[in-house]
Amino acid sequence: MPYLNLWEFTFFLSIVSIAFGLWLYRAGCMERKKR
Amino acid sequence: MPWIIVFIYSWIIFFLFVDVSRLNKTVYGGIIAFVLGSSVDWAGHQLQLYSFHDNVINWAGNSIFYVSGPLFTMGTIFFQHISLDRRLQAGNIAAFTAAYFAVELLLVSAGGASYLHWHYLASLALDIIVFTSLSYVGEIIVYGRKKIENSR
Repeated sequence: MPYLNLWEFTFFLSIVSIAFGLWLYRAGCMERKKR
Repeated sequence: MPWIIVFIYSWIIFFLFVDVSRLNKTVYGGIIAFVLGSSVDWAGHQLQLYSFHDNVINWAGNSIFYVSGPLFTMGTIFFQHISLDRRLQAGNIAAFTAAYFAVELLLVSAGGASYLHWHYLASLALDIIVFTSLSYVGEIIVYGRKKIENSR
């Protein structure tokens, strides 16, 4: 049985996406600095 | 429905971070992830390890929105972020594994997928193995053998 409704799912997915996006931004900056 | 939401989110991240000038090489990461993900999930579905629900459009037992969404975009972005710096690459593997694993947990929690003869830790181990091996393949495709040898 699902225990997250679609709104809760979207909310938690947003948090994961923001965290992941921050990592991608940081990793991109570090890589550019090295080149 | 959860598959469509994940599809939209992953393409937003893709368009925010994609480097179009390197897409001719990095797109292979997306293609490899697409093929690998489709076959593994098809096998898992056939073996009744896990099952998928509300697929909207079926693709190898899975939803087409999942394979063409997070799998394809994450594969491409992963190849784009491959670094010859060992520590940064370890960070990339950890971050991508965490994001992928989190999306999977959310999909199971929202009823998009259910585990029949499967466990969360098996998924986590599989994700680590996949991203680690993808980074070796990706180094060769993105940087070429010569540049990798020179950097070591």
